[in-house]
Amino acid sequence: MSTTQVSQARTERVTARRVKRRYAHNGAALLFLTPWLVGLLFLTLGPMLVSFYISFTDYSILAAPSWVGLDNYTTMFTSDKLFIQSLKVTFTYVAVSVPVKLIFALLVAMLLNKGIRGLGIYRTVYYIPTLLGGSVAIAMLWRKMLGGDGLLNGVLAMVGIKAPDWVANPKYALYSIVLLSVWQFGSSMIIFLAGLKQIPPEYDEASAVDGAGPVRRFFYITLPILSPVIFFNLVMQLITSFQSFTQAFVISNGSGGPVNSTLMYSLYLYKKGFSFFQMGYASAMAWVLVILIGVFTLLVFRSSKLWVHYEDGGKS
Amino acid sequence: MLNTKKWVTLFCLSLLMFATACSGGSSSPSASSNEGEEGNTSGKIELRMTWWGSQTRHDLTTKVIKLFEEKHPGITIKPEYSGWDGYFDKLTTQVAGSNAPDIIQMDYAFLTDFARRGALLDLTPYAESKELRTEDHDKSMLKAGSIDDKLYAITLGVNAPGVIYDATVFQELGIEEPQESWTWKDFSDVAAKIAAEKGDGFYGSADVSGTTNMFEVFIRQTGKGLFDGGTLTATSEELQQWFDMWGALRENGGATSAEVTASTTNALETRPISLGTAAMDFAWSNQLLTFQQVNKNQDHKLAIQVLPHGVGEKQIGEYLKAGQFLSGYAKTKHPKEVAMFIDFMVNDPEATAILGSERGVPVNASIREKMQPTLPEAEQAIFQFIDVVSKNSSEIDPPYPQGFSEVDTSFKSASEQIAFGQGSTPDVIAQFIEGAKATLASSQ
Repeated sequence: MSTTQVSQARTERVTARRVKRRYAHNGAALLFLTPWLVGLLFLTLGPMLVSFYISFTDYSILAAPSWVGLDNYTTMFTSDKLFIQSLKVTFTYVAVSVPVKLIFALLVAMLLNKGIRGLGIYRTVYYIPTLLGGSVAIAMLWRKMLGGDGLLNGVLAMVGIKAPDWVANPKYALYSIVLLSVWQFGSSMIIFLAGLKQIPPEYDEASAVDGAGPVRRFFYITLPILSPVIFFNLVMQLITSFQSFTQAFVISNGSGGPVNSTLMYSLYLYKKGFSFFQMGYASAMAWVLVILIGVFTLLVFRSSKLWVHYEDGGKS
Repeated sequence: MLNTKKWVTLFCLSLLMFATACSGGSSSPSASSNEGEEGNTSGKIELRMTWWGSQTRHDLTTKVIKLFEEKHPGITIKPEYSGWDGYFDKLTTQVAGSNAPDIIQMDYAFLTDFARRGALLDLTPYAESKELRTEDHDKSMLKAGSIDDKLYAITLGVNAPGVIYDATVFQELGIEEPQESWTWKDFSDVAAKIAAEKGDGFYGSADVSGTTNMFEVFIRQTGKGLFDGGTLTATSEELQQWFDMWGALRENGGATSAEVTASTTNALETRPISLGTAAMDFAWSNQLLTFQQVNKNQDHKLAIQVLPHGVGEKQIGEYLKAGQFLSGYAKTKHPKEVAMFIDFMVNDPEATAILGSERGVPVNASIREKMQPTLPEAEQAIFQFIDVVSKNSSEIDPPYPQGFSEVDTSFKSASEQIAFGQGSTPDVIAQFIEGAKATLASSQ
């Protein structure tokens, strides 16, 4: 073996060791990431691909799927009245609950920002509904409270008002679910509160000195500075509202009734799949929902250029 | 190159760990299954059993399971019970995931769907080998549990639809209790009269215009079944008659208002008769007991009568129905033990004594005879009612066609639409018929 060969071998060994060390470092990271990667592969990506395939089949769960091409998608848009109804219900729900919830959250956040005593307690108390809100128990409680002889109507009866059964009347049932969703304003509120705390008080003081009233100060100072936070909350709420399921499921006893007035998109999807044995159709619906949410999120992002202001001019 | 390989190995290795960790739980029963098949009774066999029902049923069924486990020390049965709502959704999911319970309480409405799609165990060989004794079972009930000449389900109890009524309210108002010969007109008159006498907030009957089972009896009275093969046979005139009758009752308080009906669920505790706000409700005979137990006015006595007859009916609409069935899961690892347990539950004197008639009158005739004299008054009433119906009824129609659950849902929705005044009755009916036909056609 010549000297050049020896030195070459040595350099090779050294580089190999270096590379090895670098990858060993990455290896540890990958090892720790594995549970997540496995989850992503088997619990998210895998099922998504399968569902995409199933959406082109007629699949009754109990028998093997059979290929039907685009049938599920065409039926949906041409002859399924309940699909259209579920879209209507969901759009109404999103259009009403998201803005109302955000406005309410912002109002409460501004009140809490005034530096009242026991702020921590209030923050917690207002946040609790958000923690509980998705649960079945709360939805059941809500049904009892707003029912024909529930707590609310009991109070109204005391002052002589004969109120309808809020959850069993198709005119109001959806709005009782909207109310339940607005009541869970906590997480948006906490984020707003954090945003408000970021606004330097000097701005407010300076404009007050210049003679701007509280309304003017709110619209010209607070809102523009807060707009990135509003943007974030809006996107988050939009996405979750499109997918909401539990409340409608529990309040309508799984039926989406009365008269399909609370037949949310996900509820109808669930019924198609698990009650009517049409998993192919349900999968197709799921993909339409993905596209819908994507489109709406994109629209909000596009529109954000017009109304979201970053203090550094959005250059960061 | 070497390094990529290395991390791939690492990844695969951890995958393997993940996979083995997952299968750890399920590996033990499969191990015991081999022992069971070799006839080694010392090996523990674990079966899962699922059913729906009320708390009473849960208590009684768990007792029977305990008794079975005492007599067969090698077998344990894990109960999985729930209410009716969502039961079949869950079961479907479990079947799809090849993870359904070994023993399944089945309903007539879903039997065809599950059997035809290969989810249920064919019990015929076990019936032939007498591991599952059926000689004392009513022939019509064996027929009800068979699809395409294969036995898929054993009747747990015989039921019949009826009108449950609060006899105390009838006596209090001096109104004659329903007779076996009563008609829908009699029913409407009585309901309206009760409402008028009791005043606002009390109804003659629960509005069951959206309950397909009860409408089915109304249609059977015209001499045909609700479905023929895979089509709906009810005409728009018949639907119109049915909804008009209930519409008139809602007007005069004879039936619950749209809102009250919409807030009523299948849970017997929420029915107006249980809350003390109505005098009548439509139900299955086995439910009389539970209705009595959950009634708010415990001093009130409930009774049951046949469904009202049609005016000029062509045949009696009443029928005997297998209330619930027990089926095995097609992919169970212990089909023999499943058959053994089903046999135990319907033929063992001790087990049937525990179960009583909570699921309906027992299907085994000799057990039924032995049991009747020993029963408390309320249960005797159910036995007597079944006797009455046995004499005056027509044969049950074949199980509902595939796609029924969707038709059932839209029937309920149509009745709600009419009750809430959303759209004219003829329009709603036309829409319902069109939708039902399309659904049934695409499900065959």
